[in-house]
Amino acid sequence: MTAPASHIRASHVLGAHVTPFGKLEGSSTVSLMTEAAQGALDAAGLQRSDIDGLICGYSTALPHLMLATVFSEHFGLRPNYAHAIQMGGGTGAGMLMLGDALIRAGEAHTILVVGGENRLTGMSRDAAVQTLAQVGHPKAESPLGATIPAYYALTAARYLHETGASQADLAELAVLMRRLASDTPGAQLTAPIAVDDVLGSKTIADPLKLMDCCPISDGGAAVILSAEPGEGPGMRIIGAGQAHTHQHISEAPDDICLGAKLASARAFERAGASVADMGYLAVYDSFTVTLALLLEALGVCAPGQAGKDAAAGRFARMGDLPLNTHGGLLSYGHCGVAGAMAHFVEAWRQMTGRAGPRQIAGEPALGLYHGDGGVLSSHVSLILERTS
Amino acid sequence: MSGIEIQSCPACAKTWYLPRQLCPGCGHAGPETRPASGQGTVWSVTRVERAPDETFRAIAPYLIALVDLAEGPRVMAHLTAPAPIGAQVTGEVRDIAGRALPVFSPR
Ligand SMILES: [Zn+2]
Repeated sequence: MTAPASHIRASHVLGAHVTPFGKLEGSSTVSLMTEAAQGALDAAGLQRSDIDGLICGYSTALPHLMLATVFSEHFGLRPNYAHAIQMGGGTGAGMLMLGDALIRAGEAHTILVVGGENRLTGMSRDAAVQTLAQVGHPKAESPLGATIPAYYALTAARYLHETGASQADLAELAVLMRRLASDTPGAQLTAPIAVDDVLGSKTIADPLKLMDCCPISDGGAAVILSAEPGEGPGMRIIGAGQAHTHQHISEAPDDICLGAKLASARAFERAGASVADMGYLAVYDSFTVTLALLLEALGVCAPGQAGKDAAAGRFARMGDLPLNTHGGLLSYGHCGVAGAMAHFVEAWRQMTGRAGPRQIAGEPALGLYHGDGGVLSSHVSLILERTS
Repeated sequence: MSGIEIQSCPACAKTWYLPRQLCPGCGHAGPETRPASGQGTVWSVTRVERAPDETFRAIAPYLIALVDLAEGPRVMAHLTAPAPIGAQVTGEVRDIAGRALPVFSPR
């Protein structure tokens, strides 16, 4: 047996920051990454010179071979380790998992994980829709006029068929996210909505309505991971797992959200915990059906029950199991890589008592963060633990 | 024939739709390409109202389905008329918006 490369068993979150999401005129990929990174440094009480590792994602508004060094140069970093990764919507979660792994391996001590994109003002709506549609197969899917909402609509139609859940059940998840966003500073969509508003909104791809879909946003988010804890209440990553079952929905397993089961099982195993131990949830919610499928695959809800559980108040800020208390992608907004990182930033704030007037009631010891990319293709689960 | 082609593996008998130079199951390097009958069952279906570009805005709304072919593979296709999940459909490659695409109709 070889000796472990490092004695470090978990990475600690020293600071995190998310910018406002929405229409941020004059912003750019790099300016949003800068704002987020500086905010995370300030939250951690660190200087740029303390950072020895940098992990970035991608930006559809600024496609670049070397986004991490573009940002590193701009922000004035001199890291020992830096590169970007791409996992679609799962990128933020994948970046955080990589950061944790690098710290545990001893490759870096203090890693800045940062994403940002002016996806709303940086490209036309058609261009954004067409870029994102490339998640589909270039010959067998995209040329059919299929879009990301269409791919997810296919999962939604199947979900409703298999579980007996209704469109109104899915709508409950949009209503919940909007209610949570309504008093979150920086959220893109804050006007209260009811189930009837969701059902009455324009059909995008049946059965998904406009309000079942997240908006396109400008925004940024950053997290600083370290080998050592900071001062005061903290949070560390104690489990992580991935699973990749397919790229294209045409080749997805019949159990379409299987990847979430596999990824979370790996993360729970390493953490020595189960879903029943979780006191906070941060779950990717690009569409209402994404959230329903993930909550059910993760074992949080029984099949077909995610919307009903939301309606019953289970996931409210003061409920048993707070979920995406910033409003999620559905209402805080979705700017690509940073969109799903916002869930992590919010989890850190809530689990360490930093959420101010929005602070949840309990003091959960453990939380689950889950992201997916593609069409339920790439999954990443992280288990989060509060430290004192 | 339907004009829809699938691939199959002479070694392990796996069938699939997205073209490859090897069997994704056993790795056999000589998959065979063969025509599909065009008979299938709707696995899921959506009516797309928000089209991605001008080409498809001209024909929106349109139906996109995942169809399980009688031979096994799942194929993304257009539907000419509404058909629920589980419905039997027959398809062929046909011109849609100037492109040769698999198109199915309820039978
Ligand atoms: Zn084979």
